[in-house]
Amino acid sequence: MIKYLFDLVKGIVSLFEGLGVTLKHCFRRPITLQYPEKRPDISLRFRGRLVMPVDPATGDNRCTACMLCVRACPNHSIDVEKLIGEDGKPKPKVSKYIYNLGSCMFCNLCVESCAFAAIIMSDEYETAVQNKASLIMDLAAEKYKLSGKKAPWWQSKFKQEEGA
Amino acid sequence: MIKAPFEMEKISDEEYILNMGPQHPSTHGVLRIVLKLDGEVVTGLYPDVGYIHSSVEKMCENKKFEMITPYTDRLDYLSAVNYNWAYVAAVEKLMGIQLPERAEYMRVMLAELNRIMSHLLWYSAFGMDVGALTPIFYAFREREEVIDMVEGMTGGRLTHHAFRIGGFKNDLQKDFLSRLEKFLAKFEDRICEYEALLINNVILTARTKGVGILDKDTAINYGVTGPVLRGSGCAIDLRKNAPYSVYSKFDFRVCTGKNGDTWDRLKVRMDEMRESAKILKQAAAMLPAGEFCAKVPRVIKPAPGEVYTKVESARGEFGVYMVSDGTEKPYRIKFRSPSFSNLSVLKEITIGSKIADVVAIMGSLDLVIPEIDR
Repeated sequence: MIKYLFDLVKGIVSLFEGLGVTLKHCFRRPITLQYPEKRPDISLRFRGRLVMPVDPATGDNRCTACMLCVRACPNHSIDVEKLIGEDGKPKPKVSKYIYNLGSCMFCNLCVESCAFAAIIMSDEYETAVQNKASLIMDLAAEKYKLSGKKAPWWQSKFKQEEGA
Repeated sequence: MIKAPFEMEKISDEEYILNMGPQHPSTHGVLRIVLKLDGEVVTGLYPDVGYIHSSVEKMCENKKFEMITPYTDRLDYLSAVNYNWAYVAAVEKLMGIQLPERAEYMRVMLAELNRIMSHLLWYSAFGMDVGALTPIFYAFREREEVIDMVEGMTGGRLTHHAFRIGGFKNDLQKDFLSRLEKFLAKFEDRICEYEALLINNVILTARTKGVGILDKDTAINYGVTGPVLRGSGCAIDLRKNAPYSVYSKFDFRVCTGKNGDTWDRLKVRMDEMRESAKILKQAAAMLPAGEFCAKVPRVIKPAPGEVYTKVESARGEFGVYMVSDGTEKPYRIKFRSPSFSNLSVLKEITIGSKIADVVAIMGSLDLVIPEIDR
């Protein structure tokens, strides 16, 4: 009988302890973000989708079609075609950079393998598309302009991490 | 011999078959459990795995060594770093790479943050399983902070791809230590709040105490590891018993339970978060300056041979057995995943209990399905 009463009191106390925690939260500031209107602060090293930005110094991309990223990719998401000059010989320039967003697993190995820092994982995280064909894109033709805090990092070829 | 599911067996008129899953919310993934029930009491149980089998081990045989690391992330998306670690350590052991001191401490810190991440998710998911909706909102708040920290360091939120063979690609970001300090300062209080909210709650204790008792011998016989084994009172933790990396330098306790019931497994995980916070504090204080990556040859070609490395992941012992034949690709990789052996013990501890307890027991085992199916 005494044990029963003891357990009863203990149970009620434990319930109020839990309710006390929830009550405390009534007076704390909310941490939620009103998402589509307010955006979170994306960290510098965040890996969004792959882009090949245009270098503002030259007005063109830095890619030399050396195929290093193609070989580094674990699941063959990248395909590169070299530019063929008028004399019929291949030039160290990319004509088509086919990137399959559907099979990419955002591992950053292609960016790390690139000797010229031609590509970078951007901070774009809303990558949903309406149909499957638009997942395969040509990054060289896209002429992506990198902005935000990733831009100076990419300009310095990943050497200076400002604001990291 | 593989035992047939109960559909094939002849059952009596009193009993009936119930499928739990493959799309059941409390299985946390695509796992089907065939239950044989007599009224509300479970008389037979058959876990049917393999729905999302991805043949990772076979895939790894066609990948170069440095390409496999992102695949190990995907085995367990809740504590990816530990799985990276076992694989990367296997290659390093074969190649005889000695890590710089700073890299070892960074690895410990990321692994412990990952353990906290994983346990917080388990806590919130377990609350959902037994019908408590509040814990998920509170635990995810802290989990978000941890994820942001790890994301700032590695770039990924869940599949971090944090480790490279020989160390790291990037150093810790500048504000990592200050954020960690800020987080740890309040985390202890938060764990106490979690315990007051759910673990010590009278309704939960009534549902979990004495339910799903796993005794020590059965646990060892089934190869159960991790918090589930420690909940049965067996103080085996690879960080203490076979210390890898710099774990021997830290002062922490191996948390154990007494009875091996569901509540003990919950308590062990809550205590483990405290111990992880303790390790993080020590690691942040002891973090040396210097290099964060060893000198690694450009082409990774380990010498022929075989190796087994194991780490204590958030779920138990994760091991990698690897055979190399001296080429750029491994000859064979076998992953020893903790959830698989933890699932196999489910039958032993569930039979005889009520159907509602199956959900609580499964939640306390903390299963991750991609890791079971591999």
